[in-house]
Amino acid sequence: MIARLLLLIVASAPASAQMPAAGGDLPEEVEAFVEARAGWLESFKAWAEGRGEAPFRQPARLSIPAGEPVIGGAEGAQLVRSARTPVVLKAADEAGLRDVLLGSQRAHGLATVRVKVVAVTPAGGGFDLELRVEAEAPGGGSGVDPAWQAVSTVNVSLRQTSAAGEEPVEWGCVGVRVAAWERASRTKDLFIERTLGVLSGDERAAELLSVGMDRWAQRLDDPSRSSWFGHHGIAAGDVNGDGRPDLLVGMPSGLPNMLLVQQPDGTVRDVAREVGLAWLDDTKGVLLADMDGDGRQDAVSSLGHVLVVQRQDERGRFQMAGWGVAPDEAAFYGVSAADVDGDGDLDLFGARYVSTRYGDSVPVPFEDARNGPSNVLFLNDGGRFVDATAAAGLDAGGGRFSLQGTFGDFDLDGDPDLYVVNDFGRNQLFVNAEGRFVDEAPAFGVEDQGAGMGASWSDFDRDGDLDLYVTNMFSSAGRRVAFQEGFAPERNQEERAAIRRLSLGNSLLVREGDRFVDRSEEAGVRMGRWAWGAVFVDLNADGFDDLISPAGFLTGPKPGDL
Amino acid sequence: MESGVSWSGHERNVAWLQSGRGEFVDVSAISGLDHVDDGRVALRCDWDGDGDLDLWLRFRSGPTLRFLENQSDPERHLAFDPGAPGASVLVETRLQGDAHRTLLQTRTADGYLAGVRQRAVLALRPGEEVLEVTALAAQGARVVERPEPRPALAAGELQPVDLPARVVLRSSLSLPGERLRDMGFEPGRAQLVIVEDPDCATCREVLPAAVTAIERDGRVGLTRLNTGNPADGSAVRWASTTAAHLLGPGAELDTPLSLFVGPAGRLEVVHVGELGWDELSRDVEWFALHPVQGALRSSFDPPGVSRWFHGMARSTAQLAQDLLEAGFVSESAHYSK
Repeated sequence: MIARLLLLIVASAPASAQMPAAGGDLPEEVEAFVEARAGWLESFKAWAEGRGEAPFRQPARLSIPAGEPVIGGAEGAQLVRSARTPVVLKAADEAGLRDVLLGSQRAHGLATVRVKVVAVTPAGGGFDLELRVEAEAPGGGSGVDPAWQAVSTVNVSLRQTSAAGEEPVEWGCVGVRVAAWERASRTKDLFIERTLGVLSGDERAAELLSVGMDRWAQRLDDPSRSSWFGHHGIAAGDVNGDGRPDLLVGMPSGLPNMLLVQQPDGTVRDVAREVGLAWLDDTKGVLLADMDGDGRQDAVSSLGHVLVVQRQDERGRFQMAGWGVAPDEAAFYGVSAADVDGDGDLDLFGARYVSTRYGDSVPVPFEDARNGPSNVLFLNDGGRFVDATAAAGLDAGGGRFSLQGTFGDFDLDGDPDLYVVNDFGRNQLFVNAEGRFVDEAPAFGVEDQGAGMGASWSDFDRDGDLDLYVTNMFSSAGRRVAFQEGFAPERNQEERAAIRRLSLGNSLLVREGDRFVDRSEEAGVRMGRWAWGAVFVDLNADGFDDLISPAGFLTGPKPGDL
Repeated sequence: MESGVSWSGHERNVAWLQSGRGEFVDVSAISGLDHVDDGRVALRCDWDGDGDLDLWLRFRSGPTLRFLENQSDPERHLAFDPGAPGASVLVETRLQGDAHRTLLQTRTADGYLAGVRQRAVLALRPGEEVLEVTALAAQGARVVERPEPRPALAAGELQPVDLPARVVLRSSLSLPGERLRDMGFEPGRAQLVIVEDPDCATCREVLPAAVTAIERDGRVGLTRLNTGNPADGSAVRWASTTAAHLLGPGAELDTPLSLFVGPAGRLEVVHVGELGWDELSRDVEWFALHPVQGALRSSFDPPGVSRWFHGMARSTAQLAQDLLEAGFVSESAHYSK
């Protein structure tokens, strides 16, 4: 869809502005070219899987990275990748090329291969495609035959060729260059899904959670239809003080929220109805935190434009304790809590995205919007939640279509700072100075003007300071379209660069001295697909944080994708 | 989108392992975390207390919740559990001569829509030695040995079920009086309208018990309509049109379809599919015996039942249009006044 949006940007320009720039091509032509190459891409995939002939015109130039692969270590997995800097290539034959695409496995014919075109460049009368090639095999479940996967960045040169003296008619592949590859194999299971077992003690909860929003949307009274997009949060916390974490689950409009309390055997039981948390309203962000300092976990639920705070009493019931109401009916999405004013209790920050109904708000300008609903800071004044947004300076910069604010004391001065992630433009880093916030994102290099969805703080490199991973949209179609020279010629260079950034993907912002530096490309963590809530997490318990990036926007039951 | 095609759909979650030098390698497939559902939320949490971080994942498409149990189980881990968010601790460790200074910080939220437990965990590798824990807020930091494992729970994901649905309307809907009278509605008495189908197995197998319970209870009047009965045709189409408007475009109106109408002639609850007496009796309690309480959907009534926080004014303009297009002129006029 980002491609469609970007094409709309082009289409909205005056006709005279749509002529191809010198040396460039119109985005529509490039997309048509890629669609027409579907057959060739399928042949390439089949060859890589060992099911067909090599789809290269002879003699094609084939090359792969030279130099010794870098062998990395991680608990539970072996990691190998090609040398990245400098990238030196060497000639290869077809077997050698395929071997690299399969992660040097020499397991030809056993892999499943996926191919995606992520960039197109007009070159030499034809086109160069950048492909992301993913290969994987489940293995036999033993150390001798482990599961493995390989990911490669492959540049393919497609040119028209002809018989002597005739007009060029046929497209053929005249060169393949593997720019980089990496391979991972598993020596033991990293994770086992046990949802079935955990929910085995509560059949009703399992039923309600088993079905997706396409199905529920046909079964629920949801006048705003906001539930369908599936933005429903979860929160972990030990609500009954038994040492085991429990889970608060936000649900779509018409279905009761759940509080899944962990039993000694690891199964859960939903007690939301008994304790007063089973709201039927569409619920986005949720928290479990001790809001009143009595040592018990309380609950915060984003119910439309109200943040509802329920205090847990001594009997384990959640009583209405207060609420924060936004200045208009635009719903809260992500919610977070921290003691921003240092008075010993937790205050609330709610991020707001679109006005009233998803789809009714149009961000202007698309790449740096300031016309979204305002975010809100509520100070906790003895259980009353008072809107202190303007007084705290958090209204600076206008409404930016925010999805999440995340507190982190990145400057280690003892008070919480706030990173706000915005979908249509620049993010904000609000530095806290005695309860007054100033956006210093430009100074720290963390504006990250992508299509932001979420952010995670961690000292992932274990050097004693906090780093930041920002979830953004990645769209291969968007990259193909927006990076053509003929794209949006009526816009200036800065605007085009900002629009291009919207489809580039996630950002790893590493604290280096007094700034953060974008190390996404070197670290290899840019491509998180159409991502939402990526977080740092130590996946293999080796003491170093890894990353997971949930992805995908709207999967429909029919074939085809906008 | 409502036609069923995708918009950046069928995209897999991505996971990377860090090699320890600030570089990462894609392990989406081999980790089993590359679900193709529409991922939204990732929440890390040492759910089973063994020192590694398990994952709760949330999706738009079903199943909407998954629990992934981490299989790492470190021998020891450092748990930082100050009981409050925003606390920091600097941990200095050494392993085979390499020193690390690691900042742990607790917070309430992370990623997107994920409320995290205010507890930080650092897995310690075999031989890794904790040298010092610096007191930015060091209380609550302790090294924990690997606990006794507990029996494994069943592996697997949730399987989608054929959903019966009890839909408590966010705001009740006034129904046309003439239509209610035609269906035997007695003013001041709650009424249940059930639409059945001759080919509906649930209607044959489940409904009789519910109907018997309703008749024995006696508090609710009953209107039974059958799609196979030509005499019921108009009422069936009216009920279906009204329910389809409430439940969204393309609603799958499985039979039995049941409309629970309160004593004031207002539609309160729609049941799609299986009709159970337990839930129906709750409707009776709420909307027939205690209609004032039932009307106060947005009130803060005592915990114990699911309830709406927000009431919402219902626009009936589209319903009027739908009914008019279906040929229900007087019913349409009821909503056009």
